[in-house]
Amino acid sequence: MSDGRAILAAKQAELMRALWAKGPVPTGFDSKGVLLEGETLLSKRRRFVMKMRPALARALGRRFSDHFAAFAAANPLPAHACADASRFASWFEDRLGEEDVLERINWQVGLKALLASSRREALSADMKADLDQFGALIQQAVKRRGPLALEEPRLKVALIIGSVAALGVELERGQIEPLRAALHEELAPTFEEDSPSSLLEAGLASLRVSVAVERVLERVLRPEQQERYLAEAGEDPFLGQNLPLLSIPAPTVELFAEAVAHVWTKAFVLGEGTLPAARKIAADYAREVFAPQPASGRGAMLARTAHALELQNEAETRLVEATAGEERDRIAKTRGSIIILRSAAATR
Amino acid sequence: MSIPKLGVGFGWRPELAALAARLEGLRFVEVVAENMDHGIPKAIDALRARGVAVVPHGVSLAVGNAELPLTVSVERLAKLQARLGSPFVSEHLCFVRGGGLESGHLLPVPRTRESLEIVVENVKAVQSALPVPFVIENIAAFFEWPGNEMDEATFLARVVERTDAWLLVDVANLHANARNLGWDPIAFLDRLPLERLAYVHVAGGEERQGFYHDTHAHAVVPSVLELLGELAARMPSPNVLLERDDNFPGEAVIEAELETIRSTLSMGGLLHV
Repeated sequence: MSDGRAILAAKQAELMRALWAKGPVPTGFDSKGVLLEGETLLSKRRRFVMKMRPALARALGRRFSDHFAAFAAANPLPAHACADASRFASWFEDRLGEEDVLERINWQVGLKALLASSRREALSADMKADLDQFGALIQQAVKRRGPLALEEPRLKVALIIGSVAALGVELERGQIEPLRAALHEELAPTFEEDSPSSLLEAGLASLRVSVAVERVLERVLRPEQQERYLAEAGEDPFLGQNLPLLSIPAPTVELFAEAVAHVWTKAFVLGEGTLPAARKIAADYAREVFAPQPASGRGAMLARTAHALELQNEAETRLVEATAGEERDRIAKTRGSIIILRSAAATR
Repeated sequence: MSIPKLGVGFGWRPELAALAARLEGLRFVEVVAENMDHGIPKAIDALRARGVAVVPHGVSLAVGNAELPLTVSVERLAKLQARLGSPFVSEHLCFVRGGGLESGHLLPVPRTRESLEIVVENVKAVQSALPVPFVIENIAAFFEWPGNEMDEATFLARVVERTDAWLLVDVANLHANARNLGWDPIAFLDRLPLERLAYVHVAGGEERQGFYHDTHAHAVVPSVLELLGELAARMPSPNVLLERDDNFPGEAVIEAELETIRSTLSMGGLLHV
């Protein structure tokens, strides 16, 4: 290399370090201009990677810029820009273990896709990518922290905030922290619970969480956000979780009792001798289900559903106590595997 | 070597492929040379079959780097030109790497007699591999080197004089430098050897925090069109290419911008004496 080229190379290298590696701005240069150029370089690099990894960009949302800046400071731009995107993706995966970034992930997009898929909506290519990304992140969490990763309260709270956002409630930045704190407080008792041993218990646990969540939402959300949440959350007390619900459209106490006795007979394979007791328990249960309940609102509906589940739990406990031997074991083992509800049609 | 008359075209991007395929009057497009490394899209060959000229526009050869361009990079560009049958090939007067770091972005060169020698040698190295005109473009920057001995127009004029290279004048970059560095854009145009003009770049951008950002992701601003008119008043009916790289609007918006460019050219041409 000639002298002229060597001198130029040294000067250009110095400038490049100022632009990329936060080196000092070389003497004589306008530092404001050099800094602005550095920002332009970085944002150009970031936009390119966002374009190459749209699902990761959506999953990280506003956090993308911060993470990318940290990545770029430690990783020079490769000669082939395409490699930048894959390097960033693996850098980010490695970081997942180092700090609790999972909590900060924008769960909204993944949950939106998850919700759409549980409602069996046709998924766009973008949503499929989001869903894959979401699944990969969850797997990553489980891989790093073990199978109980998703039971972690902070994650649960993040998931709940994500689901609220996924339902189209636009949360403002200032609302998220109070919401997070309130959820931690209200949900604390549910975090202590033992894991459910039947689907009925799982359904009940989920309802207790929902009731607590809605108490918080009522407090934290503004009326129009509340309205949007209620409209989207609709009448499904389990928000699209795939529980084996049996909605019985029984218009009267007697018909409902008869249907319940029939379900039990089939599900528990009840013997002839047990039928009268089962009918009696079903009749008591049906009367309580039909007892007047607070009427309107989603909160009331959740409370009503939780109450119905508790009644079912009690009724099935009575049924266990009324039986003996193999039949008793069979009922004890299979009870709670079907969640029986009065359908909305019957309520009206 | 000479430059054919190609009218008004635009930078071919996958997002604009359908528009390119539909516009019957289209005579030329530009492709980012580095983006063709993994193969030529079928749509490009379809355009060529229609007689549309396809111009490779390099962003990483950068004739302002301290090192001579790598033979392999020059050969790749030459091969692309041959493959596309391009009437000319363009690159930037800038540098993009140093100290083992890539900028991923076009950076200004010092404009001294010493660096002129280096740029001239670099340009000649590229030209030696190309059977068609090699065109160099002015860039936009937020800073300049201390100790510059000449302005960019004079520097470009000297490179052209010494190498027989051709000029690509980016009027959006010119506006950016006028706005951000306080250049006189009219004096810039007056100092360029416009008889060596191969084509003109027009692109959109936005004002942000007291600076003009050449984003290629926004509408073309009026000041850029004014400069295009000024240029057309000095050199009538130049070839013009619209660059749009991001935040793509509907095809109708691009078509409207192409139309605005055409009418700006005819207005500017009327001023020509």
